[in-house]
Amino acid sequence: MTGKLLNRCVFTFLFAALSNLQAQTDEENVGRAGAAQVLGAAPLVASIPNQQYVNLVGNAVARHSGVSYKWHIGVIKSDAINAFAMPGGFILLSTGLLKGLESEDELAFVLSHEVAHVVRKHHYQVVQRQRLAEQAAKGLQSVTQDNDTAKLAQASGQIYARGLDKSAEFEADRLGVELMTRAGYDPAAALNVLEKLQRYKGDDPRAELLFSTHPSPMERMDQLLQVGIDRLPRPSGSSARDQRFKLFQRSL
Amino acid sequence: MKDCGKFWCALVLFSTALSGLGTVAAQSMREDQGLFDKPDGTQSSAKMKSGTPVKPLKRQGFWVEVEVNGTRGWLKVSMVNFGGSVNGPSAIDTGRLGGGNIVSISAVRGLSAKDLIDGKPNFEELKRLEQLSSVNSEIVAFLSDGNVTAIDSKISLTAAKSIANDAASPAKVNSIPSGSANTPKKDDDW
Repeated sequence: MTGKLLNRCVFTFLFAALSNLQAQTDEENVGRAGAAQVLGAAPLVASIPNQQYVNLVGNAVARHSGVSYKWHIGVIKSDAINAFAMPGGFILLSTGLLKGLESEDELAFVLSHEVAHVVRKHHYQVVQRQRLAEQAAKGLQSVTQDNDTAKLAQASGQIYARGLDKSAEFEADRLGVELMTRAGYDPAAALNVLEKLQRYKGDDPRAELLFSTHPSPMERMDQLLQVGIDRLPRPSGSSARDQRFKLFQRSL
Repeated sequence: MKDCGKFWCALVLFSTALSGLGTVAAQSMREDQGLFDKPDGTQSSAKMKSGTPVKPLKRQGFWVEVEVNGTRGWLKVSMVNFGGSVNGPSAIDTGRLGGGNIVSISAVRGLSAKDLIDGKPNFEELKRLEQLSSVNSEIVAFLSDGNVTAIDSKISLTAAKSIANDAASPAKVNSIPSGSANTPKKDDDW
């Protein structure tokens, strides 16, 4: 009796673990396709130290999310002001966006916003909904995992061009601020980033896609103030942190 | 409780006087900073010390018009310590900078919506991206070098919708930051 129960427990555990692994693998496949699509539009910059730097800051905030992904973060060569989060732990940041930042804390906000999109599976859910709709249209009863990479890449391109719901962006801001604060970065940097983005609005073509896919920086700031960003603890600055950020930015 | 009532009366009176623009009790400068002559303008006064009391008058987008030692000027929202006041920066939400409309000009080559939809995936670059990552020991050393000290507490910001019912305590912090070379500021030190 005990043996049977034990077997059932082991089977259930293994089944759950395999399902989870399969889901994560599918998420990663979707993320790979999405990343390849964005990289088709703008390649990675050559500088390895710069790539390492954003990976370190990204991982510093991501480790407080409670979700385990292997994060792959890259800087892409583009004057556009934008960042992209792909399912499974892929993040791409444009040099245009990075050149406008003034501190590692501001970079931490940008990265934690993208980490939050991944952790909350915002893009993955959109892909899953599209798959469901497609399957329903075909009259199939079950949803299969579509591994047609080219198709996935094209679908991802459309999602990044169209953007997510406003609520997903606000949630990414909120969770992002929580993550960066837990990591030890200054949450006020989030307001500084949004204030910088506001300056681009309306008269800078580099921010066109960003503003067509996100709520206005003003709305985003209002949301953060409403949820009490000004009540969060703020750490002291650090000259070492400032220096390494300046070094990073100079070499972009 | 009485004080609270007085405060709200004062708030209503000021709001009326300012033709609907909100106002809040005096707060303080967050850092050594001069006032600006206008939003996105130039610094028009000598630097004032952090902690100097500030009286926010109205907000215009990311900027707050303030009175400091009898001088009027503008500061960015992030330059003011609102002290986590219930009537913090969101309570003085007033005008907006400009019309806020997106002026659609041709996007930068390479990352337009069209490029993302019609472009071809680059799997060679994807391989390079997959090589980029960090291991735990590197992350720990990096944080230490930059004096980035994690907070041993559950930081949570309440979802905006529930704020109306719990305006007094939107952000929840269960404990103070853990010690390190960094001396964290107080929870309300904005």
